[in-house]
Amino acid sequence: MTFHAFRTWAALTLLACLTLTGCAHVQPPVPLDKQFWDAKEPTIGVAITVVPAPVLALTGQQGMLDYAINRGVNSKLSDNVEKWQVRDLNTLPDVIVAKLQAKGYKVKRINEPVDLNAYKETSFREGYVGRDLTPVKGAYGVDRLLLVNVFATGATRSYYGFVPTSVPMAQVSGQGMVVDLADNKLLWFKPFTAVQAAQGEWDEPTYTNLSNAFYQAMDNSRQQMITPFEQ
Amino acid sequence: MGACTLPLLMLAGCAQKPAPETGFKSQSAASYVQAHGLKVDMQLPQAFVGASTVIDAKAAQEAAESSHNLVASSGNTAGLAGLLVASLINTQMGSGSLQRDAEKVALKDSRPMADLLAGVPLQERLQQRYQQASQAAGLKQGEGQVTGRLVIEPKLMLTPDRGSFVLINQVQVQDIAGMALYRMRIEVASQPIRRCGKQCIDDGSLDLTKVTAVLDECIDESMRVLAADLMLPAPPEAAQETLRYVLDGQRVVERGYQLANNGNYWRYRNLYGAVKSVPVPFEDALTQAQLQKVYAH
Repeated sequence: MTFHAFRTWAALTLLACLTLTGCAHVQPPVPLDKQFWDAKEPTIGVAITVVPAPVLALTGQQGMLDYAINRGVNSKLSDNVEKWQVRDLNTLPDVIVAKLQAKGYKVKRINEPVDLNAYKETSFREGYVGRDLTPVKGAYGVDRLLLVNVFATGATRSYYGFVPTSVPMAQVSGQGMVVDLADNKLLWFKPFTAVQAAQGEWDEPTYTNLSNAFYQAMDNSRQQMITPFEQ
Repeated sequence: MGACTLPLLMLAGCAQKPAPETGFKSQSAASYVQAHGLKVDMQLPQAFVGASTVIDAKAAQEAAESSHNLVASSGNTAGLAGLLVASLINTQMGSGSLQRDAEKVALKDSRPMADLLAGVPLQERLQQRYQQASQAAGLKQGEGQVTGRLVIEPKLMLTPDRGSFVLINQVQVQDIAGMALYRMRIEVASQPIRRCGKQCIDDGSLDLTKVTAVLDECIDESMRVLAADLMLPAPPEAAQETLRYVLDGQRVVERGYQLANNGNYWRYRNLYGAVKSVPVPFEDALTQAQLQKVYAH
């Protein structure tokens, strides 16, 4: 093998290794600092992404047959989970708007749900949002964007094959952020995951306790998003 | 084979648990009471005083996680046999053990209140108070032979901070033949029973005068709730919302239907149909006008 061929193979192997091992970047939380509170001039747009409909997620080691069996066994629960309401999340920006307005900040409620996929992805840079959100500035006439990005709602249950290894747990997860729309810098970033078990029996005919657990998880998520703006 | 199948089915847990008894109201309940009146029959249970079990959320989370890890890792390393062993260990440790400990503590914590009330002729006193309260709430009192019967089974449950209690009333309205026209669980959260007030620390000893005054207030509210609920139509499905309030420093979140408030008490019906009345306002509560609009649809 010539040196040139060796170098090419080495480069390809390195590239493949990097691709396969997945150099995942994780944005650490960014606390809301004094700079945010001191600036009363910028207009803050408050919005939420499209909230995913509640679903039952079956996790753990399952083959295709196991998964099909588990879906069948949980079909009634799954139907029930899909009926849960996420209105409390959709009204969350209104609560934050009211809190900021009461403190004398210029705030604008962005009524349309923000679709992050519509904005160009950027390379990872710690302390900056992974999408170019600067067009939001012109589109809505705001300087900063306070965005609640909800990833998942519903319930989760883990399995080993077709044997359940956990009871269903209600869950809501996502992240809150304040983005400076001049340069996409994160002025605040807080991931949240609220997982709540049913208080009492979970497998009653109407899954009442599990439903309550879901609304408790949603309230927990709301509190995590509201509390930083109550200081 | 059969020996293997049975535990597997148990682990998979196909059978659903029965739901607790839900509230029930016949259409003729209100008119029957208005026409014939009610005679109050308070049935004091043997264990009138109890205390709610308290499990530390962090400990519960850790126990749940360790149970989950134990089961998952057993499955990974020893397959289904490992899962069976792990499930047996789980019943003796973790969440189950926390629950048993919490029940023991609750029993111990309810003792001072039970001892305090042991010196009171409760059957006569409560029967009399419920009767007075039902009359004051506007429920027609039964006279003569043809009359309805209002059966009440009360229970006093101390709250997690033991600084107040919830009066849980299992209420049933029966016609002359003993047929149930209305069955409901009515829960009224009390004002603080600490001698020094709401936000204070005292030696924890109880004052009988204070306790009975607070209990009487709960009985009065229970009968007001009953009188109002007998007349109310069933709430429309669209009226369902998340009720949020802070009681004794604990945030309570429950799905249900907000009802009209009365004085210091805020009321709602939960998903089991029970009516709850609490002496604190709800967060983002609907106004009376909004409530009327919701119920009109």
